[in-house]
Amino acid sequence: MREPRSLDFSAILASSIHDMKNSLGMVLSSLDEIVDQRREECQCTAEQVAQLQYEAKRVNDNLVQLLTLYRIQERRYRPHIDEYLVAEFLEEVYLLNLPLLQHRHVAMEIDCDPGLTWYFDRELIIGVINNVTHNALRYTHDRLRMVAREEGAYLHLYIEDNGGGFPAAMTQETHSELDFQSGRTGLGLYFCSLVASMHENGEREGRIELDNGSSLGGARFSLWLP
Amino acid sequence: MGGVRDDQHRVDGRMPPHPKRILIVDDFGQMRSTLKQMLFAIGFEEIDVASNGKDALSALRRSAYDIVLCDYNLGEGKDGQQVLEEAKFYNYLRPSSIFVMITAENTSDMVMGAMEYRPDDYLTKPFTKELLRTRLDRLMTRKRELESIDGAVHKGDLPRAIALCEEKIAEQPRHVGELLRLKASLCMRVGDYAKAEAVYQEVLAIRQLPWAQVGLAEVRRSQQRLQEAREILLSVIEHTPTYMEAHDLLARTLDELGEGQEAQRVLEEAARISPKSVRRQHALGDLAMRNADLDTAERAFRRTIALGRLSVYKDPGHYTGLAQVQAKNGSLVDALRTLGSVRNEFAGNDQANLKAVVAEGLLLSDAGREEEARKAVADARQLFAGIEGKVNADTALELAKVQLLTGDREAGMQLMQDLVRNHHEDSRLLAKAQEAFSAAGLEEEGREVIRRTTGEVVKLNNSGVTLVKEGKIVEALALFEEAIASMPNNKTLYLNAAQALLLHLQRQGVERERLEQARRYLERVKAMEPDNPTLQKMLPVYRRLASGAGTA
Repeated sequence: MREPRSLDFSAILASSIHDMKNSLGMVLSSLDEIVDQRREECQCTAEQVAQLQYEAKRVNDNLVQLLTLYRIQERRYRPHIDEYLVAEFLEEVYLLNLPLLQHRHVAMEIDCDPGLTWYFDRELIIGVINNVTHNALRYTHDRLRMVAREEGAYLHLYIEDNGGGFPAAMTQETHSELDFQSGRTGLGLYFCSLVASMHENGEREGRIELDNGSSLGGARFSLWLP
Repeated sequence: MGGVRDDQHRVDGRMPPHPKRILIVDDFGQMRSTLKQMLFAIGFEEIDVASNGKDALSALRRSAYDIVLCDYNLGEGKDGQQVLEEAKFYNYLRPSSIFVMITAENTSDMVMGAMEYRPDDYLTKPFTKELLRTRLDRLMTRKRELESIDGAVHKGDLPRAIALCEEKIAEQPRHVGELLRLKASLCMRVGDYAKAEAVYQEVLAIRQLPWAQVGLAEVRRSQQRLQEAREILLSVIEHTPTYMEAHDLLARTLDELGEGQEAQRVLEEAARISPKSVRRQHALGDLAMRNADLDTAERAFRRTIALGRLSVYKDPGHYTGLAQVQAKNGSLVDALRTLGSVRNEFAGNDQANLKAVVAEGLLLSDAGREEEARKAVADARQLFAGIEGKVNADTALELAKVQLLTGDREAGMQLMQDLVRNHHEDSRLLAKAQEAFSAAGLEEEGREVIRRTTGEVVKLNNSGVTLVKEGKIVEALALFEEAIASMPNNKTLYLNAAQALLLHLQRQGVERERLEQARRYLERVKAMEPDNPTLQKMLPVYRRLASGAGTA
């Protein structure tokens, strides 16, 4: 097994503290808005709750990523590969995100052969999909689609939306190095790429790809697992 | 929600098919009530809660639960894995029960228990009600699919369980991986290594999965291909350091290869990753003592005792181990105090007390305090007489040894001879017997006793088997019965006698009395070695005969 890439943990930490501070800033100001100081009551719209929930999920994603990256660095984390029914797995990820999807009025479809099984670290891949989904929620119009296929001895798992698509610069990178210029998506994609590469089978290793080949007309995030 | 698979909607408002009893184990009150609310909303009604491992186990002992949701981290005391192991050890969980381990953010921190001590599933916090409902729904369906296999395993009918596995695998179900793993582990248990290896190789041809690698390493060990086993296990540990079974097996393999120091290093590393295993600490203590690393041995035994107090694996051997280290360190007083504490820790347990008193006698005799040693031996004899027939063979052997050492030769010889007669095929025990003889300065005499005694038993067994082959089954049975009366712990005799009985019943038709006798013999072997391969082959024959007689 190849050694995991060495990480500049303090740079990662700085980047995600920045992200989380932004998210928490939004949470705090939303809270100010919905609390009526005079009557000591809360009044809020479903929209505001959805926004709070969304920001809280971002913070949670960030913390999960940080913790995982920390473990990878400290104790040379190895993935726990087990066999799962992919359709069941995707359905569970969908259920985990259902409240958020509903609040944001986004419909999500799953397209996967119910008999397809694959080998991966369940928690790591949930981290990846949550990350991509939460990011896609910012940009999609009103639809998301999770698709899984077996293609050339890889599991090809992709999430597509009907938003405006990725900017050209993003689709040309491998995201295996941290890019702080790109702001909050930088760490997320780096995490996804790292998790993908930690999945190995024989000589082959996993990878991610970004393109605008979505069947819904927006962006598409692909995860390839050997 | 357009396009979501149909069965997605199944979950809405659906009640569980049967009333289910659930136990929630979590040290946080908030989490307990959240879970309880979720389960109520899903449609479960009988829900109990426990806030720590101890309460969880007493609840499990009192009532039969269909589902247990247990947090891995339970603060002070036992963790979730220990609760699971203890519940399985004491059979508090039925084969149909579902045990779900709830973990914080990631399972990577947790070590993986051996196959028989794995939960049915892991659930990572935070999760939603819908996810919990779907997961439990699926687990219940999967349990139902495996019901017949689990039932056969529970009854100890492993050949039937393997056959059922094969039937299911032939149907190419979605969970075929799980069935393959189960089948292989059952084949290992009954000693069908070739069949197990076929499964492991089939899986490994597709992917290097740790369970299949460790399984293959075990097959190699059984073939005495220890170097190959070692290579496989090293590779598993490199890729999956939390797979503790691989460490333990590697340590044993290295020890058998004569690399005691390296074996100790492996166990120390394993104990660092997973420090709570009583059995691992005990093994480390034993190994370090043999390596004359008394500091490590003492630390390991102290940890063993501390951990053992919380666990089902509490054992007088932890105390005798520590006492031996202390004595070797020149502190007989401490050693005797350690042994003395067995009386309190194992009050009313004559087996444990016998072991401690025998150890006391040995240490005193070693220290040249003959008078006191003889006093300990007298106490031991008394305890032994009270539980004769139920004494563990190793303890009995130690008793014989201390008797030989303290000059009680006749009684010592008699006991030793009994042991050899009852365990004439157990090479480990015979080697220990030879060691004991040598320690008492009776090397040649001991060798002769072992040679002669085992020879007699083998001859006896052979004449019985020859009689069976000649068709003189009634004569063979008479011979075996007489031999069993004088060697009531000899596994081979029971197996041969049972074999003769089954043959007799097949030929002459079923007689209730003979059938009952066969059952008794098989039960005896089962009590001594439940997975004995010969026993496992005979059980189906017995069951067929018994069901034909309407007595099953």
